Amino acid sequence: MKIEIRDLNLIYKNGNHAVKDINLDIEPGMFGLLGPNGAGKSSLMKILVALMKPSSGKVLIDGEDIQKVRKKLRSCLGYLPQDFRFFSRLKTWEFLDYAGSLAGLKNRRERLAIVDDLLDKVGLLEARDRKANKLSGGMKRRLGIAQSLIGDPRILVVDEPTTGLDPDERIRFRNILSDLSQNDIIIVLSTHIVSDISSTCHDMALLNQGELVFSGSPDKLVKEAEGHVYNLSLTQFEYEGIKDTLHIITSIPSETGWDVQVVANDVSGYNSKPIEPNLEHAYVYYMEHKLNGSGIAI
Amino acid sequence: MISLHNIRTVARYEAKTLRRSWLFRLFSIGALFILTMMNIGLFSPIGDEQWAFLSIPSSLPQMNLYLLNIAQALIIVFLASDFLKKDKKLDTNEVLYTRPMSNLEYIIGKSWGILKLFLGLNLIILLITLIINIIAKNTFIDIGAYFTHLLIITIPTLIFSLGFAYIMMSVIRNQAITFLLLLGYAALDMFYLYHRGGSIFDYMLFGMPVLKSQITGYDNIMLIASHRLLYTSLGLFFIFLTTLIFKRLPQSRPHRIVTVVLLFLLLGTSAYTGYYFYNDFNSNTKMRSSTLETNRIYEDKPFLTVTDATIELTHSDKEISARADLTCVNNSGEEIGDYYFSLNPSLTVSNIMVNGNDAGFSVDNHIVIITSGNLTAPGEKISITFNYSGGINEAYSYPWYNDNIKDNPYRIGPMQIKKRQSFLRSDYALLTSEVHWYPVAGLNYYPTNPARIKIDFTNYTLKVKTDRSLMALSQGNASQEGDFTLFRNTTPLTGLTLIIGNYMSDTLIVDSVEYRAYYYKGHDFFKSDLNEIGDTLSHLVSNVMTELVTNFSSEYPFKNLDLVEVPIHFHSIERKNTQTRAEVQPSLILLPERLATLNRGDFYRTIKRSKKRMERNNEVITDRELQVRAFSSFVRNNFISSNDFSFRDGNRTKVPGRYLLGPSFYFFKNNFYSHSYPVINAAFESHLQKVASTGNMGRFFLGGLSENDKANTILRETSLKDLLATDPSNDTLRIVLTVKGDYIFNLLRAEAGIDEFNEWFVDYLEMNKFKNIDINDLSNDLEEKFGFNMLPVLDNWFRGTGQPGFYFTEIEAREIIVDNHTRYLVSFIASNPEPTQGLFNITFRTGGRGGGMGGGGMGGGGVTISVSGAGRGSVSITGAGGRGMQPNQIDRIVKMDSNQARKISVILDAQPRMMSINTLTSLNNPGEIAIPFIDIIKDNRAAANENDLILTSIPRFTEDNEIIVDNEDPGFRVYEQQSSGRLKEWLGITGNDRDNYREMFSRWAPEYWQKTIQSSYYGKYVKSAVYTRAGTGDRHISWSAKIDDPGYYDIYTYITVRGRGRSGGQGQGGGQSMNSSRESNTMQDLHYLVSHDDGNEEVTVDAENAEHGWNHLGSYYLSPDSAAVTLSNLSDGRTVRGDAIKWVKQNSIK
Repeated sequence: MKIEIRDLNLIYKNGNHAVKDINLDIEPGMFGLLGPNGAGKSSLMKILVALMKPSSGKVLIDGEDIQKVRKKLRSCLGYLPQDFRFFSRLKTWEFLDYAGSLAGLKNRRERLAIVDDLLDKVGLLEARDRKANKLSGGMKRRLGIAQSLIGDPRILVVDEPTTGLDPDERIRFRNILSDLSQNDIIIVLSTHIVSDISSTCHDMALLNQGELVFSGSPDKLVKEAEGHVYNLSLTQFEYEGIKDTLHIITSIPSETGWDVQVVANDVSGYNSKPIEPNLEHAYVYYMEHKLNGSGIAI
Repeated sequence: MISLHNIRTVARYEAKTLRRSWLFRLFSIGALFILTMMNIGLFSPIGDEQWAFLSIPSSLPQMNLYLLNIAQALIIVFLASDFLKKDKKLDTNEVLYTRPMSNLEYIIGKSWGILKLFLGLNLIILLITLIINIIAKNTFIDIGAYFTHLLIITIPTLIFSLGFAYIMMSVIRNQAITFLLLLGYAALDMFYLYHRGGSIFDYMLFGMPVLKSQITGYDNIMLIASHRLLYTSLGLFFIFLTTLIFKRLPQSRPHRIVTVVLLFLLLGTSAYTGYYFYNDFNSNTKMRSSTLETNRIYEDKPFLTVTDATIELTHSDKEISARADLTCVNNSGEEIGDYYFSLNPSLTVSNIMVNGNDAGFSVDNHIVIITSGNLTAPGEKISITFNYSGGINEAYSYPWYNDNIKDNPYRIGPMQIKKRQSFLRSDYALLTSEVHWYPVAGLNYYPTNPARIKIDFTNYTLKVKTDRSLMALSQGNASQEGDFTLFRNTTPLTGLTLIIGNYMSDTLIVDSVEYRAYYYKGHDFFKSDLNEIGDTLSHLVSNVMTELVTNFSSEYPFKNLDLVEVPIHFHSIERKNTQTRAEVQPSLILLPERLATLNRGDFYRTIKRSKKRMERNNEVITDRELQVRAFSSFVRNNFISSNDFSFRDGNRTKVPGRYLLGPSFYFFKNNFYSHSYPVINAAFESHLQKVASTGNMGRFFLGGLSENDKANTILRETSLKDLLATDPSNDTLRIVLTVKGDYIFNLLRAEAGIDEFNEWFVDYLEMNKFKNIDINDLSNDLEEKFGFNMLPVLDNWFRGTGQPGFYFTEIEAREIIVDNHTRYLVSFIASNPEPTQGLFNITFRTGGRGGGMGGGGMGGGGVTISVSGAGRGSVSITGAGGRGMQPNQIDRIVKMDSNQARKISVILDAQPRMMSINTLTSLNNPGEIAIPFIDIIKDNRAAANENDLILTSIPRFTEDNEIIVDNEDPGFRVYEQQSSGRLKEWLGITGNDRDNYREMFSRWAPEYWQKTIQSSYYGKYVKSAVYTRAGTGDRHISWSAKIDDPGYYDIYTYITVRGRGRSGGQGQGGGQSMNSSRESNTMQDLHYLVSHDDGNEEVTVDAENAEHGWNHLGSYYLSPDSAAVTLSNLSDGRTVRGDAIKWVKQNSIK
């Protein structure tokens, strides 16, 4: 299965150009969609799941326009929207049962078994009979994840799934997704949390202001940041001097002053040491440095 | 293609969500509680066991669903729009929207979820009803109605409400506005639309009649089905339309195509059913107007008189085919060329023969015009044969009728019943003469004179063939002749009725009259309720008939009296040319099924209640006696007198009973006609058929105008002739004809003597039984017998407007000795200063007569009416106000010339308690004046002279030195602020009718000065006052007079006080009505402000201790100027009433 996005544009009635000329191919496996808030990630995802029609362009699944084969798309889709709330009067298991039933699980007994299985998977089995308004934020997210997984979707679109999850839960979620990605399904994960992608995605795209600014593997993105990330040991005075001019990624107080990681083109004049960039570095480098063209020179 | 699985899934969870919502929970708990209580209260043995419902068992589920339906039609609006509001917030539903289901499946699922839940609630309530139904006594279970009513009432309403809410919410996208619109429509239906266009807009069946009969089922199932299908398909149309404009990308093209096709189908269905329904309504309206218009063309044509008719009729399916052989005579007094007959317009004439030869004919709507080619001379006989077949158009029979259910409701509880005038089905037929199912030589309505009537007394023979399983019923004696049932009559009839149904019958022969009861199987519940009176039944029936015969002074004219159970829907329309209703036919009474809507038709409950009452009072009474009472009371309250009244315009209006036997003693056997006064029969009927056993209901509640007063008010403005030309309402016509009938018979009695006239007239009626009598012949016969020519009087009676006015002074009662016996002499002076002559009659209530029931004839006295006592009172059947054939309570009728005063003396055997004077047609309001006698003067020497004395001059009503300003006079003024709000004004809800006389409601006295009327108030002719709720003194009234002579004046106010009314003194209507206690003791302190030369002085009068009549406010010096007295509503009492103020100049200046 393959998703092809061709010349995709979405212009809202108010003139806001949410998605601009996007062309993208998504293969089975985990695909990360990274970008700041308002970059158009959610809009793109809504088009992907056929909740919205693009203003122009197409999304093809195995060569077929999803606007023409919505039923086919919906039959193999799992979706977790960004702002997920659900009917407060339904119990946890009922909600999953509802979603599962609509996803095509017609046999009630099997469906209930799957529901419990999924609840167990996301750690909600104990909250099985609890109503939605009695669930914590994290639990609600997990329930959302569970409902997106029900019915063994071939395409899973998850929008900011880890927001509000604690580190344990986040790891557990990543693991679930990783497991799933082994099964030849497409998982599109949108996030603004870089580590979600770095630890799971083999492929990714970077969106900014509706435009696709990067697509490729996370390694490729990281590579582009090589030689632009440094570790500086700074005195208090020096630290004050660069604090507002350089993109600081981490700053740790040391005995002599500060140990600081920065993204910059050149940091000559300081006690610096280039370091191996990670995806987070690369993301900052890309967004702040490359796109906005803010030269980092001292 | 459409996934049921998806629909069921959505429905299941939508229902689950909805069921857990507080709104639905509260609603269903409330509905369950209220309806269970209602069921227990209305239908169960613990409760009231309302007979009207229990007798029609389908009304139990209907009543429940009717009420629940109104509530759920409102609540579903909230729920449906709330659901869609949620859908607008996409995030909640996005996880569902990305699932593989179509919009169609989703919306259907949602709707089904809501419907399922409401249906569940309905089913639970029906189950509770069914349990009560099983427990309830004396009823059946109509299990079919439980389902059909659900189908008819609930489902279409729910679907329409849901669809309408969806579409509104989808289009308007604003919940508040949607609410407003939807609730607005619901409210509009309940308050405005439910009766319009034949209830076509009544989506929730608030008004549209759908009651189911146990004999004929739903009255017009096609019409009901079309109405409900209209709203079901419209609702579904909206629901499916919502799927198209729903904010979710559609799933697949085929589903959209299916939806569009469905939409067209549904729209087509709505349009067709809507058209079908409206067309039926419209064609009825058109039929009425075309009948009227056609009648207008032919009303002046001369008609033949049908003397003999033989009708051979075959009934099959929904049609009849018949051959009618008529023998006619030309009684029109002129030569007749073409013959005109009325025949129901749904019947088609195939062939007509005159004197055995084929004759040409044409049909204009319902008028069959036969062109004989020859002139028929007066008195000549001819025979005409009609062959015709077809159905029956009901709307034709009462062309003036407005079948709007708001104006002319017919209900059980809040549920309307469709009024049907005839039935012609394969399993049932009911054809009364009013529907003209055979040719009638005359019209059913004469537009330029609605009171005109043409009556033929015809000898009918009827042969009927119908399905072998059905029984045919008609007047006369039945015998079988092959496939035909033959009915022969020994007496002529004014009309023939045919009934076909699956009847069972019982027969009882009493005093050579055969009483036959025809009823449906299982509907003879009365037999077990009255199981102990079997052997006395003959006796009871005989007593009733004897009583009727005595009171009407006429024999029952027929050989049998049939009581036939007919479907509940059968309901005649009031006619203008007779008070006889189609429920009563010659020798036949058509009773509603299981006596559902009859007074005391529920013998079981009547007996149970009496038994309880007796037990409470420790009275011992046998079951048999209880049953006798229940039976007598039933007979009396339905066939002899009727107490129904409706509340219109703040005053009670009597509703004449539909089953009264009166017509058998006049209308079905006698007829007077007059070309000059074509209303004469209706006026005679009003008087002669009147049985007013329970007094005048209108005056029981004091303060409003009685029916007589209302009629006289109308007749002051317009003559009877002119009134008829304006096509007055039935009520107006009825009260006016009653007054007119009373007047003419009181006049005849005054001229001939009460007993002399009665004796002669009774014989006259018997002699002319089943004949049409020209009023000129009657006049000649009267003149010959009594030397009195009634024709000149009739002319003024018909064309005049002048009325006499009476006042009565020097009223006194003396105990005298006549031939060593104590007797009582009542004397008074009656004055008629008006230029029109008049009449009044006098009735005394004496100590000897006792008992409240004697008041039947008193009318104006407003004597207590005890309905239960009506069965026992020995004088219960009497003419009120000198009405009826035996006005045996009238002690004297006095004829007064114009500008005349008479001293009238009456000697009584027993001590008089009260005198009631009925002024018949006069300027007096109220026209019936009650005067109690408190003090009787002992006077052994007074002469026992009963002769009237004509005085040389008319006593003055006021003295020279007095100025009296009454509340009817120009010097009287009302000061008050506009009390009703602007909105109320716009909506026309003022509830304020201060300028008309209204009944007194002292507990809920109005917050304005309301005019009210009573014979104990002050007034020359109009004895009225104004009253208001006591308050802070923000409302005032004032009396002002112009003072010409300066000097000291004594100022008086007129107060009517409980129980202290005096007949003496000035006696200006100083009578006191028994029931004025209802309001007079609600008055306490009255605050008057008297204007005089030195300023104003406040005078407080304690109304509780005031004298009845004039009460002195004080003496004041007044200069030649206007004098005034003001009364405010400031008082601690409940009401304040103002009547009249009198200024009396003192003789010497102090």
